[in-house]
Amino acid sequence: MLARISRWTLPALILLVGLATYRFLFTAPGSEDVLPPRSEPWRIEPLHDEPRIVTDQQLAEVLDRVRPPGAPANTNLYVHALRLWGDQADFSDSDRPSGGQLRDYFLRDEVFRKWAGSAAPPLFAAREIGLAARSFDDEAAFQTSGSYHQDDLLATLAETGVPLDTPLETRDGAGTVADLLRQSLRDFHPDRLEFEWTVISYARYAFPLSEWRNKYGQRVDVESLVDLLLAAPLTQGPCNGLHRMEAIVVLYRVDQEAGGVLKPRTRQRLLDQMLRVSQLLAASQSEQGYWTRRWPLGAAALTQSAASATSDIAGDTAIDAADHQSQPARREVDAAELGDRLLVTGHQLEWLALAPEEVLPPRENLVRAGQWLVRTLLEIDEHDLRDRYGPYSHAVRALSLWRGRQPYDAWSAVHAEE
Amino acid sequence: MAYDTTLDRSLDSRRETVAAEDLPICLTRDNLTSPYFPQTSRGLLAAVVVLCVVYLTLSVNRLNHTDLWGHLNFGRWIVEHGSLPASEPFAIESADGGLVNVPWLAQLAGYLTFRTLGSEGLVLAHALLGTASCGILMLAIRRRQIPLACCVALGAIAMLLSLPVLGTIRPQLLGMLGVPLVLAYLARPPRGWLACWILALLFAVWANTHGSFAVGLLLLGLGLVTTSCEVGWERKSFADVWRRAEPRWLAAGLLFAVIGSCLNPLGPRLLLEVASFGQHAPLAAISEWRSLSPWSLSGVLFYGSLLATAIILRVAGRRMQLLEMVLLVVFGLLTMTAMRMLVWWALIWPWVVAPHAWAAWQRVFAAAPAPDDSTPRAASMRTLIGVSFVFMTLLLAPPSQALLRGQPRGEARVTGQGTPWYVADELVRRQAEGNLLAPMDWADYLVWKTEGRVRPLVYSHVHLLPESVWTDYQRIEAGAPDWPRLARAHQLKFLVVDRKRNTELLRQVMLASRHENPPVRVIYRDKRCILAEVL
Repeated sequence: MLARISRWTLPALILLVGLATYRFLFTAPGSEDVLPPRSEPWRIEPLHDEPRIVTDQQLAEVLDRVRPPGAPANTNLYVHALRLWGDQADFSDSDRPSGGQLRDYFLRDEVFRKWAGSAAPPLFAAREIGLAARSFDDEAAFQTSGSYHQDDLLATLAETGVPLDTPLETRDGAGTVADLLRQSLRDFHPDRLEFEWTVISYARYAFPLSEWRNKYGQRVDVESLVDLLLAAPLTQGPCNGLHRMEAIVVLYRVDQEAGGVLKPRTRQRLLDQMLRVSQLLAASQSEQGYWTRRWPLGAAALTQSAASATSDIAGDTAIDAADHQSQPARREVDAAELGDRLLVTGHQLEWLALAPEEVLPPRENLVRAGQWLVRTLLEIDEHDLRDRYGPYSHAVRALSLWRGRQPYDAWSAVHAEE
Repeated sequence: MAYDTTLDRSLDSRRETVAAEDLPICLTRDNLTSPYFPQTSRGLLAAVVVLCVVYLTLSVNRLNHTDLWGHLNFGRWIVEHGSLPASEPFAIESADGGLVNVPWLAQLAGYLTFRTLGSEGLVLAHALLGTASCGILMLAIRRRQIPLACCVALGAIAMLLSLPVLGTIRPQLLGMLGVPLVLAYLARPPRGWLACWILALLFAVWANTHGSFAVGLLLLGLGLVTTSCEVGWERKSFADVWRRAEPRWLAAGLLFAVIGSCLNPLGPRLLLEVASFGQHAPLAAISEWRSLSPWSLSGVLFYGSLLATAIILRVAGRRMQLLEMVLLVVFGLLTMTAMRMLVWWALIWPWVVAPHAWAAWQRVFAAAPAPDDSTPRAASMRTLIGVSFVFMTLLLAPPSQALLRGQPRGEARVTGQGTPWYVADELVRRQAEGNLLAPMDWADYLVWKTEGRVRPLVYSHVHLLPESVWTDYQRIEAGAPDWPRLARAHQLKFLVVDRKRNTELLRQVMLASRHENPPVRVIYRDKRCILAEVL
């Protein structure tokens, strides 16, 4: 009887002992936290100082026009203002938020409520493993105080140099900026249409983290991020797709700062893309110096009609077709309206200011673009300026970076002399 | 140069003797065998290896985004309410006449598995059920006096045949345990009440887990009829059939199985409901209910098995039993009319052809020597090899490895690629509540993730829908001009629009969302779909 029992149970027992041994000796609990040991974001300084693009005097004049707007608060405007001026700016003007107040608008709910109104829902809310911003379309009645793009607030904090361990006081309790990054990396997935600011946040805060798993269990690595950046059609995405170029140059420069972690082939792919866009820009620039949304067509952008050009650029999906039929900006693209020219030219010049010399278009193109921006920014009226503060702030930041300076340093230097 | 091998052999032999003498006595005294340790034949080891391969193959399957989640929704509902739903609990509207939810027990088991072991537990259950089905089928064939090696080969072929339908975990898998059990019974029907009671128990469980218990009843019925005919034919008188024990016990078995089947919430009415299940009009739109195309993988496998049957029968030259012929004809025709019947064909066909395949093998390879299992050391070693094989399989198979490590792989690696993870996550984030239109195969998952807070117009349980709802769903999905009216009529609050399948609706929604007073607002977009809120 004993022998019979033994014969039936021994194999199962051996198996169980083997599995238990494996379980307890050869498996280690995995950690979900992927945050890097460093708290400071990578800083990327401008590479060029080209007074022909904008003179000191011109720069001071255009900077004066884009000081932060006052109340009523608009989160998107404040993102652009903080990004432009940094957190050290002080305008000695009680109607305009200072750099510190702009930063605290995002870091302290008390300050957020002061500017956005006490009825505004919290800007950040606790999620699975961290914090996430309220999207502008989460609450229809409070759109202006929400975040306009996925991870744009986090990317802006990174660009402003806010360390990860900086406290973030939400309405429900306290956290840190690291909680935002943690949730952002966990939420990221490859089907996203908007990933530019996530890549910028990753590059500035988390690089050289080579890979992580998102909340769906998918492995995300820097190669897949580069694939996403390079695979999308050139103009697809917010601001004519140009934040993708910003993400590319930021990733490239951060890699340089980190001592070259990316594979040489990956680095070359980033450079090739920058060079490709530069060549298109050189070919598609108008005589006056601006670029339009048709820049990906190269020389054809100067001759082809706007309607046919946009359909060539945008691709063939139904959604794009619907977009073209209905978006006011695109309807008017035939007239290459001023706002669009400024948006495209400002964004282009901005990423180029951070790009290495070898991928830049000829200086002549850059000077023409810069001078066109200066003329236009000085001519537009105040109302238009407030309405389009976002794109204009990119243009002004671009001009400042082309002088090798941060905007507030340039502005305060002129005002200190006064 | 000549080389004398005699010296070498002599040296080798001396070395062996010395080596054997050097081994500890505990290892050499009984060649590793012991009355306390099991011995394994080559055939059994082959069975273990094949079952491990089946398990490994099935364990890389992902959880499909189809009706699995619908069944889990029911399971969760049953646990939360402590009762069975009297009417359709998830859809916006349902057909009149009350709810017929046959697989409630499978739904409950599925949900409890998920609650205990998560998604990995479901993948594990899928692999284990498929493997168990294969194992039982091998036993069923073995009961036909076929050598184990042949049973193992046919079991593997059965799994290959059912591959197109085996990739999805669903209550049907439990039915795949029932059919081989009935086949094992039919192979040599036991005479005695114990077998009848076991059949009653089997069918009582089966009838509450999947409608395929009707296949089991059909098998038993065909077994009874054909056996009676053969007995009558043999005796030249059908009046004497009942004097023979075999038909009597088969009839008793069938009776007990029918009684067992009636032990369900609907009672005997279930038999009628199952018989009329295929009449629901919306089922025509589901691929598995369509007739078998010869150009599909299923078709190739099915017609390939028919061709193999012809070859085997010709080579074997063995007379077919009436039951074998009837089973091939009945289930062959059923499979041709509905693709989903392939799974039953895959189980029945190997059982039918097994004796003929063995006869054909013997004829072709008559000179092949019989396997020698006489060496006890090898037999014990085979047990260890078998255990090692199982061990390695469990470590290699993704679900068992994830459970052993205590690290689930994550939703996107466990569920099928078509699963709408991201939009489901968005609905959860927004705490969305209300009526929703989504592609039918996505809706089950969306209901699951939102814990029933969104109510789909249509989900995979299409047989529970009124026909008019199905028609409206198709019109909206196609972006028909009256889609806004239909959306309002069904009080839809959310539209999930697949970019690939609903291109016209996508265009319409995007255009509508840009109106001055838009009827819809796009609140989420990704590369796969958009989510719009109906205003």
